[in-house]
Amino acid sequence: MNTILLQTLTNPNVNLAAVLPEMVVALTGIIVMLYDVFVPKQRNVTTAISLIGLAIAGYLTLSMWGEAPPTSWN
Amino acid sequence: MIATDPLRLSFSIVLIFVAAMTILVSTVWAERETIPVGEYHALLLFATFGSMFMASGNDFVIIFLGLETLSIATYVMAGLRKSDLKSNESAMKYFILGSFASAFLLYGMALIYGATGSTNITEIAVRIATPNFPGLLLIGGAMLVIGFGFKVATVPFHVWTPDVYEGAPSPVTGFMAAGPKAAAFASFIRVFVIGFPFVAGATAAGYLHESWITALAVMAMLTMTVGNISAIVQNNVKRMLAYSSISHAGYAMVGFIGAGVAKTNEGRDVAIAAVAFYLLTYAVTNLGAFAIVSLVGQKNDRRTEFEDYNGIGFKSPVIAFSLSLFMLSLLGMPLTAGFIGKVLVFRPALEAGSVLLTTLVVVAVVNTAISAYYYLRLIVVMFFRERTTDWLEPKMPVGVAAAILITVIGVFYFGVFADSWIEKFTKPMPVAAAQSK
Repeated sequence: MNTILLQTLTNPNVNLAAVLPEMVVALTGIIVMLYDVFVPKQRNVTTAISLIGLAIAGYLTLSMWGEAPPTSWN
Repeated sequence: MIATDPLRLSFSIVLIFVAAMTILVSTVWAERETIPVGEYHALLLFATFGSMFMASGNDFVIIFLGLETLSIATYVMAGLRKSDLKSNESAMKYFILGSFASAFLLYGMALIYGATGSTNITEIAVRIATPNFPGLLLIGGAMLVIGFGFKVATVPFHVWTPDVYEGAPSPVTGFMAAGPKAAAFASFIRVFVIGFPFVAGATAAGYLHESWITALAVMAMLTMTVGNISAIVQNNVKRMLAYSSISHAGYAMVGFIGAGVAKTNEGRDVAIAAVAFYLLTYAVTNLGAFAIVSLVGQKNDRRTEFEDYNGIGFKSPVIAFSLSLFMLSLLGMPLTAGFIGKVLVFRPALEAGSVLLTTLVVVAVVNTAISAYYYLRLIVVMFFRERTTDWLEPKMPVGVAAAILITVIGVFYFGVFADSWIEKFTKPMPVAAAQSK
């Protein structure tokens, strides 16, 4: 049974570098959501976290123009 | 499943910029109204995540996942002002009509899968010459046009736009007009231009290519004309900007169709870069305009009628001059970002040399002239009408001031020094296999 399962499972080409900007944006969203749960009724902190996350995602996107990952998630 | 090409990267830059500007613009709204700011920021980031996935997805599955992540977050954001009936109506309309569009899109994707046996766009482009069932290919293509047509708000799938844009909080409206539209254009272009190319000697693929080019050209003409003529009769600034957004989707489609008829891959990439650049310039201008609409609007967007802007020109010169600049850029005045954007998207269509596309560009130019009426009307209202009611200058938070400053600089920067960005958007990737399978 295990052998059959192992034979049918194929290892996808998981190249996380190719989706890094998207992951940073999603992670920032999760951090903002969690922070808001513990410290509600604030404005500036989540604004700052969101802008920092987007700036990192922007930087990563711009840097991908120089070195493109060949393939991903096939 | 994920592509790393100039199409993805250029649209991702647009989407990240839109999200950052929306957060800055929202500071005025967050200060004025008791909205759950943390939830709002999280939703905005999840919507941006979804839209970036739409731009990068080289597979129907990824595109649909991105679309749903984006849409669900945006439905909630449209209704964040829970006690306001207009905001509730906006969210409900957007949700119901958006769900219909998603269903059309999904059904179209399923039919294309049935015809080609793949959900991967690169594979589809190869298999399209010998489809299993040519009929499914054509029906699937038509359903995708309907689904994407709704998302980018093209005529006749635009009817949701004015009510949703008017009812949603102004910063969210600014985001919806720039972000989801850009994401939908990125997927729309990838599926049709890259996935359904012209294949010499292939009957079904050739017919599909000819059909989508003709259908989109007609839709673009209708979108520009209906958007501009409807905008003329509006008395609410947000509704006027909503119809303006519809007409701008039509202008962007001119470049999109230009990419579809390009003879070479280089020509296609230049046309795609032109659409990305156009949407960047539109985002800069539109978000600036919505920053001012949010500022002037007061609590629950009460002051959004044209008469609310009467005579504010010399009472609040920063607001009035900035808004005038944004209107001129939306119109496409030389030295502004809007002008360069329009020139770039019209060029590939003109270079194609076909009667249909030349007519399309002529219609676009005539529509630009028509749009002068309502853009200039707002400037006239601000500077040449007398104000009969009191004017309390709105307090400008630092975030909004920063957003207005960035967008004003952006309008001039992209209007004068656009070359470096256009070059970047058209730069091919260094690795030959950058386009993932």
